[in-house]
Amino acid sequence: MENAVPEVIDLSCKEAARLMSQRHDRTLTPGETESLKQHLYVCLNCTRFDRQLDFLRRLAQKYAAGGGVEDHPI
Amino acid sequence: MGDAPKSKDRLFLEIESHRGYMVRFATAKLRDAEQAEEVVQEALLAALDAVGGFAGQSTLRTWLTSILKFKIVDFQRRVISERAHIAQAPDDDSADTEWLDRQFDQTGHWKMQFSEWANPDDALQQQQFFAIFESCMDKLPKTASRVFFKREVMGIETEEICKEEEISSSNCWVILHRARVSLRECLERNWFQGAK
Repeated sequence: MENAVPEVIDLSCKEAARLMSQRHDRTLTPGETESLKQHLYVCLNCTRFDRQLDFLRRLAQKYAAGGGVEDHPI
Repeated sequence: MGDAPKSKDRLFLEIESHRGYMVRFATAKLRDAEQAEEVVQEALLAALDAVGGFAGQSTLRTWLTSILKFKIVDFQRRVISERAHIAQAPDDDSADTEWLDRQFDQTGHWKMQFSEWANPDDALQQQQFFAIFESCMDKLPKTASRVFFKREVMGIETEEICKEEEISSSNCWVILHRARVSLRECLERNWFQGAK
């Protein structure tokens, strides 16, 4: 590990939301991860948004596996 | 459940119930609704012929999807050999960026207060909920709908999606973010608000 202290910045909800979404698509930098964590500590609205994004992923995966259609073995 | 083999009609109905999913899957790949319908038709017919090959180790949908993938590749090969590849105009994410900007006030706070969703996992057991999910996906702009489907439903890596769509990574992230914010809102409005 090089220079272990990540740069933590104050995020607006708009910036935090962008990172919460991108977390599903790429690996965040340590600075981004820590900044997002700090924001989520204090922001209920974003915490809900984050949980709902996780749910959206579960929903999409369930859908891909046949969720929503009764699946009878043939 | 009886051991008697299911009638052809019954099988047909079961396979047919996955058509909506398959059309979305094929549309995400082919970007063309008519071609998608055509390929799905071929895949469904092939599935009916080959139904003995379905061993029940995976879900019916997974099995149908593997047939569909094969048919899509086959179709793309045929199309490419028939006519020269026509370059698609690059997608523009400015509309998505503007839409996202409108969700926040000038200080970067959400304009909307989110509610806590009551028992979201119960919704995953209900067929009606998936129908709402489908109609919410259909309401997205075409590119957003396709990119979201590839990323979250088909589970393709972002990098590969960007390549297929001929867009930059940052463009891809904007589109996906827009899709998620929009879907979240759509599910809340059409399901969770009434489910409390």
